[in-house]
Amino acid sequence: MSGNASSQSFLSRYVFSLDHRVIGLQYLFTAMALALVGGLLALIVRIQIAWPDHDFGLISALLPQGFDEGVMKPEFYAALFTMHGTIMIFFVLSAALIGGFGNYLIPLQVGAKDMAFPRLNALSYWIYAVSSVIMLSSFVVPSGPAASGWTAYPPLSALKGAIPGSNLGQDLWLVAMALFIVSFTLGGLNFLATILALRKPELSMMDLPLFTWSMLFVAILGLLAFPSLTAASVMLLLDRHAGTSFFIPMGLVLSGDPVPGGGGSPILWQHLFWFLGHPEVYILMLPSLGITSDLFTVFTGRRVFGYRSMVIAMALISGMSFLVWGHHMFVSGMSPFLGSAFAVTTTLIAVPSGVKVFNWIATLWNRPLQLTTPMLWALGIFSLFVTGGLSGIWLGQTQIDIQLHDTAFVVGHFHIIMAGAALFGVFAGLHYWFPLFFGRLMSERLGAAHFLLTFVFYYATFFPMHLAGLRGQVRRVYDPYQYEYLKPLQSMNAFITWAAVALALAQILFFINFFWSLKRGAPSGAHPWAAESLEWTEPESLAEGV
Amino acid sequence: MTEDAPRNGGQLARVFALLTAAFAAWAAYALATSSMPPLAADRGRIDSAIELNLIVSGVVFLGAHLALVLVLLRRPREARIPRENIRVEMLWTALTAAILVALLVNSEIDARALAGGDEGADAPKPVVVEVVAQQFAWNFRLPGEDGIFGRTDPRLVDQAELNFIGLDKKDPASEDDILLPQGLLILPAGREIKVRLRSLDVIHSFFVASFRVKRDAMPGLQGEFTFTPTTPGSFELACAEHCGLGHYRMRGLIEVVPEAEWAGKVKEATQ
Repeated sequence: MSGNASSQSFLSRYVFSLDHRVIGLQYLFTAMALALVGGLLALIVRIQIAWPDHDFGLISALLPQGFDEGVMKPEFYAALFTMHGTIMIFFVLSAALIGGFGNYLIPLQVGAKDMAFPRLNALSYWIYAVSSVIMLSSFVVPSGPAASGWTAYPPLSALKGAIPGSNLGQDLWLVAMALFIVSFTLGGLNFLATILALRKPELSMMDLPLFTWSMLFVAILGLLAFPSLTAASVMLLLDRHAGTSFFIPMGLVLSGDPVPGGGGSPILWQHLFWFLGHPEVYILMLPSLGITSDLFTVFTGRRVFGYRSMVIAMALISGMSFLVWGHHMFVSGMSPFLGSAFAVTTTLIAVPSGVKVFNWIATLWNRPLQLTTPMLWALGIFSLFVTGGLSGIWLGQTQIDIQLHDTAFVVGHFHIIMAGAALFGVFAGLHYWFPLFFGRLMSERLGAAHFLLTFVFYYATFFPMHLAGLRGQVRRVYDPYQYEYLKPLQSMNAFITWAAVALALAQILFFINFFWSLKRGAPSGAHPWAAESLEWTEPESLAEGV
Repeated sequence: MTEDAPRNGGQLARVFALLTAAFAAWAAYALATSSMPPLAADRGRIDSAIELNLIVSGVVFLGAHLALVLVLLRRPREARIPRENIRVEMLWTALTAAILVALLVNSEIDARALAGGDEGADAPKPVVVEVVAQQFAWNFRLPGEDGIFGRTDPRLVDQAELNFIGLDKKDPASEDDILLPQGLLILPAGREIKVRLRSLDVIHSFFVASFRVKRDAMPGLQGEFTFTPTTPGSFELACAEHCGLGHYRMRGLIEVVPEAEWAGKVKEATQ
C-alpha cells in the first residue's frame, strides 16, 4: 500500500509533473538522449563520405535494412542525413535550449512561481515526447525513414516512387513535425504570458537577464513563423494521400510513368518551409547569444556593455529574420529583383550581429575574467559567432551563392553558426545552471578539458568543409568520388571524418562529468557564482533536490 | 568556488589563447591558399567577389580572434569599467553597415552583369541548349537549323524507345532537333550559351564548378540562364540538389571544343 503510494508520488512528481523545473529537466534529458541518436547518425554519414565502399560491419548488423552485405545503400544514406538534421535542429537543440532552459529559468528569472499555464506546459512536453517517438519509429518502417532531407522538398517528398523514404517514413516525418510545432506553439504562448504578465511588478523589462529577453523573442518568432510549416505539412500530407496538388506541377514523369494531378508548385513549399526555417535558425541562435551576454556579465563582474543596444540588436535580428528566407532560394530561378531584396535583408542582419560582437569585446576588455567552464563555452560562442557570421555574409551575396549554394561550404557555415553556437550554448547553460538544477557543481577540470577538446575538434571538423565547398564538393552525396574533380578531396574528407570521431569521443568526458557530478559533485551552496539574476538570489527558487 | 576559478593570464587561459591563435592562423592560411576548380567560363566576377570577401572577412576574423587572445592573456591590474558610450556604439554600427553596403553594391553589380542580357544587336546570337533533368540523368537537345525546338509531351515519354523527354516526332519542328546522348553536352568555346532548363520529375540542380554556374531545375517551370565557356576541355556537370537515391551519380560531361570543330563533334556524337 505504501509502496503504491510512493510510486504514485514518484509518477506525479517526476513524470506527470506540472512543475516548470521538472518539465525543464524532462526536456533536457530527452534532448540529451536524442542527441546521442543524432550524433551517431552524423558519424555514419561522415564515414560514408570519407570511405564510400566501407564495410560497416557491426553497424550494418544493427540496422540491416540500410545495408547490403555491409555496404550502405544510397537511400539509407539519404535517410541518415535527413534524420540527423531533423533530430538535431528541432528535437535536440530547440528542445534543450528552449524547452529545457526556458521552462526551468523563465519563471525564476522573472520572479514568478511557475509558468502562466502549468498544465499547458506539461502538455507541450508530452506532445514533444510523442512527436520524438513518432520521428524515431520511422527507423523500423520497412521502407525506412524520410529521406528527402530535413527541408523535405517536394516533389521528392511528395511522390512515393521518388525515393523509398517517401513512403510511410515521410508521413511519420510530417506528422511528427506538425506535432512538434504544436508543442512549440503551446510553449511559446506560455513563455510570452509568463514574461509579460507574471513578472514581478518591481522588475522592469530592462532589468531582465538577456537570456529571458532571448526567450521572449524566440517565443514570438516561434508563434509567428512555425505555423507556416504546420500548414505546409498538412498540405503535403493531402498531396500525398488525398489527391491534391499543392506542390506537384502538371506533366511530371517519374521513371517513365506520368504522374497524375498537377497544377501546383514545388516553389510554394520552399517559401513556406523557409518562412519557418530561417527564423528557426535564429530561434537556435538567440538563446546562445543571451546566455553568452549573461555569462560575460557574471564572470567579468560588470553588466554587459551596451545592455540596451543588446536588447535592440536582438529585436532587430528577430524582426529581420522574417525577411531573409529567400536567400535559401537564390538559385531556384527566382526573380533577380526578389533575389536582390533578400540579399539586402540578409546582409544587413549582420549589422545588429556586429553590434553584439563589438559590445562583447568591450565587455571583456580590461577585465579580470573568471575562466570557469561556463565562461569558456561563452567565449567559444563568441568565436563561433564571428566565424560563422562571416561565412554567412559570403552566402548572402547572390553572386557568391551561385558557386557555393548546396556545397560543403554551406554545411560548414551552418554547423558553425547555427548548430555550433547553439550546442555550445547548451553546454554553457548546463555547466552554469547545474548547481541550480541539482545543488552540486560539475568538475571544472573535466569541464575545461571537455571544452578545449570540443573547441579544437569542432573547428577541425567543420572548418575544412568550407575548403571542400570552394573546390565544388556538393552536399548530400553518397559517394562524392563519382566525380573526377572531387577525387582529390578524399583525404580532406577523411581528415574531417577523423576529426568528427574525435569530437564525438570528447563528448564522453561531458557525460562522465555530468553523471558523476550528479551523484558526487561538490555541494554548490546557494550561490556558487557571483550572479545577481533572480534565479540565484531569490531563496524560494533554489533547487530542492529535484 | 568562484575564487578558485582560473582567471585570465592563468595556465588555462594560456592554453585556450594558444589554441585560438593556432586555429585562427591555420584557418586564415587554409582559406587564403584554398583553390577553386580552374575557371573556364566568363564568370570571373564570382572569383573576384570571393577574393574581396576573403580579404574583408579575413581582417574581421583575425581582428576578433586577436581580441579574444588578448582578453585571455592580459592581466588587468585594476578593473577599469568603461562607461557606456553611445557614440562609440554608433561609430562601430555605422562602420559595419558601411562595409556591408559596399559588399552589397558590389554584389548587385555582379548579379546584373552575370544575368547577362542585352549584349548589343551586333553580338552573335547565343547557342540555345535545352537541358532536361530526370532521375538520374541529363538530357540535352539542340534546336537544329530551324532554331526551333520541336514540341514535347510528357505522355510521349518512352524510355524503351529512348525518347526520354517525350519528343513529338510528328511536329515538323522536331525533325532537325539534335538529341545528344544522355549525359554528354558538346559546346563551342567562346560562344554565349543560353540554357533552357527544366526537370521531368523532382528538383535537380545544374552545377558546373569550373563554369561558376548553378541553377535549380524546377519541375513545372523553365529556367533560363546564359554563360560563355572560354576554355576547350572536358568539364563535369554535377547535380547539386538532393534528388533521390541516385543523386550522387547524376553526373554529366560537358565537352567544350573550338567553334570550328563544334558541328562535326556534335554530328559524331549523335551517330
